[in-house]
Amino acid sequence: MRTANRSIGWIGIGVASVLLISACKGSIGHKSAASDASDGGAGPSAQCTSAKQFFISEVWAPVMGQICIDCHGPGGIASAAGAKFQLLPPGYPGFLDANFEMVKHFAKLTYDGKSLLLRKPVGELDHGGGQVLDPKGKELAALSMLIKRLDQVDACPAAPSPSLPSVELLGPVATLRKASLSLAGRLPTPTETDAVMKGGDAALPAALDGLMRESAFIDRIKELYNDVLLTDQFLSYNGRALNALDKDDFPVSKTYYDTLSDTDKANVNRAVAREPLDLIGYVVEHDRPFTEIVTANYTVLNSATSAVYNAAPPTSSYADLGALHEGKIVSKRTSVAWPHAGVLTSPMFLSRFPTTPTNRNRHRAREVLDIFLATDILKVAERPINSQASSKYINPTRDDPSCNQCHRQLDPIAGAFLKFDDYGQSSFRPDRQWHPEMFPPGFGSEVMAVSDFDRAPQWLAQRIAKDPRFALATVYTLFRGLTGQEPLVYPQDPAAPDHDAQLVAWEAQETTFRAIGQAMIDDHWKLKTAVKQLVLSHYFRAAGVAKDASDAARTALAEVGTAHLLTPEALSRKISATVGIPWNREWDNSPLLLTDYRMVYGGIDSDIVVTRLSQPNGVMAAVQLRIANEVACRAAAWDFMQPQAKRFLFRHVELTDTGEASIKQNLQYLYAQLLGEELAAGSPELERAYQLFAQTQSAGLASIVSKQENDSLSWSCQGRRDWLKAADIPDASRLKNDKNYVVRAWTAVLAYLLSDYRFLYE
Amino acid sequence: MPMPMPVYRRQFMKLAGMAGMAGLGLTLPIARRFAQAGGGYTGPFWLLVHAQGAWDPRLFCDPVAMGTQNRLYTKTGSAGAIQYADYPVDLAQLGLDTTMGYEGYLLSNSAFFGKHGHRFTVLNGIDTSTNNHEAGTRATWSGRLLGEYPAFGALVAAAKAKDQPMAFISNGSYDVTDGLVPLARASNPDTLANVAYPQLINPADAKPESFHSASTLARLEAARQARFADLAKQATLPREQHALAELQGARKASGTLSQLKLPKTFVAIPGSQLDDLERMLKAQEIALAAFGSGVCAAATITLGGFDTHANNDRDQARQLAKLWYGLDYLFTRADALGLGKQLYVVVGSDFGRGPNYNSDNAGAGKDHWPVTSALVALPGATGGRVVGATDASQNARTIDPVTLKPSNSGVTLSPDLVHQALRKVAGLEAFAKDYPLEGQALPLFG
Repeated sequence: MRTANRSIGWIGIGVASVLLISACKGSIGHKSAASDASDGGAGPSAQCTSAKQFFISEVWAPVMGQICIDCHGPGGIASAAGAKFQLLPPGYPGFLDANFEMVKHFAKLTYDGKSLLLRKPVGELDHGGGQVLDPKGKELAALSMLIKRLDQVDACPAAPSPSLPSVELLGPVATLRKASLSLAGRLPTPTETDAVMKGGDAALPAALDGLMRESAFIDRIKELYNDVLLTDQFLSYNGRALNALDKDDFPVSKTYYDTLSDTDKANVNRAVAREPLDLIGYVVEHDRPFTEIVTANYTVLNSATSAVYNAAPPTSSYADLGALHEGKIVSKRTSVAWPHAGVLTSPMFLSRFPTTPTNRNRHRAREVLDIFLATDILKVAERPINSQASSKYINPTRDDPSCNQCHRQLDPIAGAFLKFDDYGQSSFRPDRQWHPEMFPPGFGSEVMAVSDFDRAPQWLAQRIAKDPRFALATVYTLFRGLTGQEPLVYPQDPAAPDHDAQLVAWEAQETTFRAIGQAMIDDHWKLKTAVKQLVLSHYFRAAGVAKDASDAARTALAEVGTAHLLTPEALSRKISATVGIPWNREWDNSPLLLTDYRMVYGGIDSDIVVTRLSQPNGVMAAVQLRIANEVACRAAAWDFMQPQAKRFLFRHVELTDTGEASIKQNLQYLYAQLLGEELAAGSPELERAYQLFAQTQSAGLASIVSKQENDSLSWSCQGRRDWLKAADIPDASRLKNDKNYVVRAWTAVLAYLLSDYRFLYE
Repeated sequence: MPMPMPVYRRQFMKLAGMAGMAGLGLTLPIARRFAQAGGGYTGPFWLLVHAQGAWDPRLFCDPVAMGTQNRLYTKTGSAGAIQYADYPVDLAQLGLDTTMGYEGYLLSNSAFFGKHGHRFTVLNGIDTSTNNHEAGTRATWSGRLLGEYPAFGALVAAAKAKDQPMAFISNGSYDVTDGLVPLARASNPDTLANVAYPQLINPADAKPESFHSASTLARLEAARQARFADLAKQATLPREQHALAELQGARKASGTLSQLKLPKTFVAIPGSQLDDLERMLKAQEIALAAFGSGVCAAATITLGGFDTHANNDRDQARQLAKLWYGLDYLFTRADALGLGKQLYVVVGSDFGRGPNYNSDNAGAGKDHWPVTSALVALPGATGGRVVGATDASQNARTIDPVTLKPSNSGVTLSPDLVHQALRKVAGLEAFAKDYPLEGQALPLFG
């Protein structure tokens, strides 16, 4: 059985691609359902392989991506020596297209009638790397075949874009519900739902625009970016953020902070810890170009951070920190202006990724590459090294080829942080110079002029912002946050049995992400544009595929669609949004999923545990059952105590109602409210839920009669507390009695629904 | 005021008993017997201790008393065949408060190897072939430098106790599972106690109430199963099918979580300078409790602070002293709980440090070095042995694959070879055949 909400508007990917607005038009799903049926829709046809496809599978994957890239990739020896034949590795947007064009160009260059691409790899023409391919080997044969094909008209022109098999998408209403919960932590209003119901997919962009104007969306973006910046580490105890600051630069962090009340200390610590995330939120909220998260020549301050960062004198109270405004950090150590470069020069960013006298900012550089340039430099460095060979070099990071492959890219970026101290992480030291034995500060092959050293982070930021990988990295971060999935990795092994299907999946995702990144750039770098397009893509909306889809098609779709185990934060918000009360600790009203259960439910502490669990374990399953039981216990009586029109759960029944029609009507409402599922009258699931209610109620009544149970609710499940105000309800006003066993029967139904797959996953 | 215990509390306990759950308040040995009777996992148990940041073997099990690679000590000691760097624990030199009683929570190499050397096989001269923390940690705990093989603990848990709720507990380190088994995090004992009984309102009560009557619980469970079946039929996307299967597996596993019996109290170390050790001890207690309760087969424990690019001697010595105390505590507690005969312990690090100091000043550090050591303790007195060695330049020496003695024509110890041997000990060769390692299993552990 498919629910109405999911079946309405289930459409093929060909239609879905239209939703990707102009930038994605035609990029996905050009293949018809009929063609999918013939070959499963995954992988190139064996009968006709285009020259580009041949390059990808026979030349790039086994030869150039494995061998040539070592020297001809960014930072490689050949590139550093000025070789014109340059290759891009996976991670660079469009690297396959760029590499194919490079090969096409060089294929035409010949010496004595033979392509340079066939001469150089066998050691001819003073190839700097000597002989790297066997003249009689299959690698050179594949290269030779490619060059022959490039010299002819391609009999099998490449498909205009990669395609995925057809998938069924969530309908517009279901998409709106999922997006509302994900982006704003609430359900859509009736007005929003009506608009989308009437306008269909075309009405979705406007609805999403509305969601993204809310402060909850900005909080969501901060949450999502903390998953990569991890600066919430400094919230682990009051004072941790302040302790990270250098007292010579920021004396208020010590002398004045110590005089504050505990409440004010907590507020100030939070303000300081959140400063980089606040900057990101500010950029998004005000539709500033998202590149400002690294290029902004300012940060955003409130009264607390203004005081700590010497932008304004301390005040007597930090109960209300006021609105965020643009401002400058001032170091008391020096008269030189702070070299603001967005989050790159945030004292929290610098402290979260600290350095040492011998690490020399490499840790930071690695994070910059990973977070802002979609490049995991450690993957580049994943190759066996020889300790005896390295010991031959006095300066191995610069001179040993097995080391400098990575350090050639890493160390110049590390150099951009040269004016920050090795011990006091956020201490600004304009007098510091770079290490002459290391690669000089720079970016890629561009070397920073010494005259730019004083503003080195800003110099770096400008280059990051212009690098095509910045947009891709941004889309990656959004994708991870919105779907809980990792971006696909380029399938390196052409011999893998499912390589072709994996390649289709990767190419489709790569194409989509590039298009989304380009749309964001074209729209003045508005992050909301990227969010909107991701939400409208099949990566967020896919809900089904033809049951007879081939194995290859299933491989290609392996990482597509819903089935995202909600994070502790998202589940906590969903409980409040759908049930109407939060699941909080009684003693301090803190959300239980953000405190006691955060780690055990697979969350992160931004400190030691920085990776979320996406696969539930037995402990997490038990947490789910506790949530279902405890929330049902608290919510059932509470909701019945509210005026019917304001109830979240029992809109169609009263405590006296036990008739089948009214119970089923409310059950249908509950399925829509809690699970986003429209149950048709007579559906087996509706009948199952009804039987759960009816049997529980009738058995309970019998237990009361036989004195096995009493007619009162358990104390914990009584309507004894206002969960919204976190205050006890006067005894006389409490709902205690359950002589008809109706509250307990509904409690069972709620526990059933709150533990359901569709409540726990989105 | 709380209500009196409802009648269905008794019904719940009956239902729990029928489902193979142990009741509240059972002692560990009883809980263990119950776990056995109810199908809980009974061992062997693997505890994998990671010294995070890359330790310096020259300062403990691969010592060189004189020369440029050591400024800390001038003599070595021995425990069986194990040679160790011999230097005392000096709180002031370790940068620790001398008034907090920390000396009671630190052990010297001499004290540790003297007491536990008989348990350990020391593997020296392991060439990880990397200076990269991430890759080194992966190689140390999976045997594979390139690509993401499952962690050894994940293989053990998947092969031996896949259906247990906490089959593989991770407290950091490399914990990739490749989907073979769910990963559990369990650092807060208070929360765990609450979660173990999701049907009880407050498990800590002397007479805890249940949220639902026993018959309601049975109806709920039946409805959930039927719903799972329907959703599985409806799901067509591979991702959704996979998610449903994972959730159902986790639900099934959660049924035995109530067997978990945690200690009522945990070690509390005064002050804050040994907080990392306190966390290590707490994590070990949880792991031992999970072992003893039959719900876990493998756990990782992490102690950080070993990335000593500066102050190598002070910080390595301090962290090693904590590590040895933690391991001493582990063995002591395991024996007290009757788990010692089933406990297998592997201690490793990202890679090594050295060979030389990176400056001449007193606060000199040591940088990354691919050659390292590992310690492996099998149950009983199977240790007191050393396999492998390094030369004067701290390069790995090759060993004869039969005699395991240093030999110029032998093989170099590598994470692959160490894991081949570990897999053999754990009986994982067939189970892990999809994750082949280079080389052949050597008789590293007898």
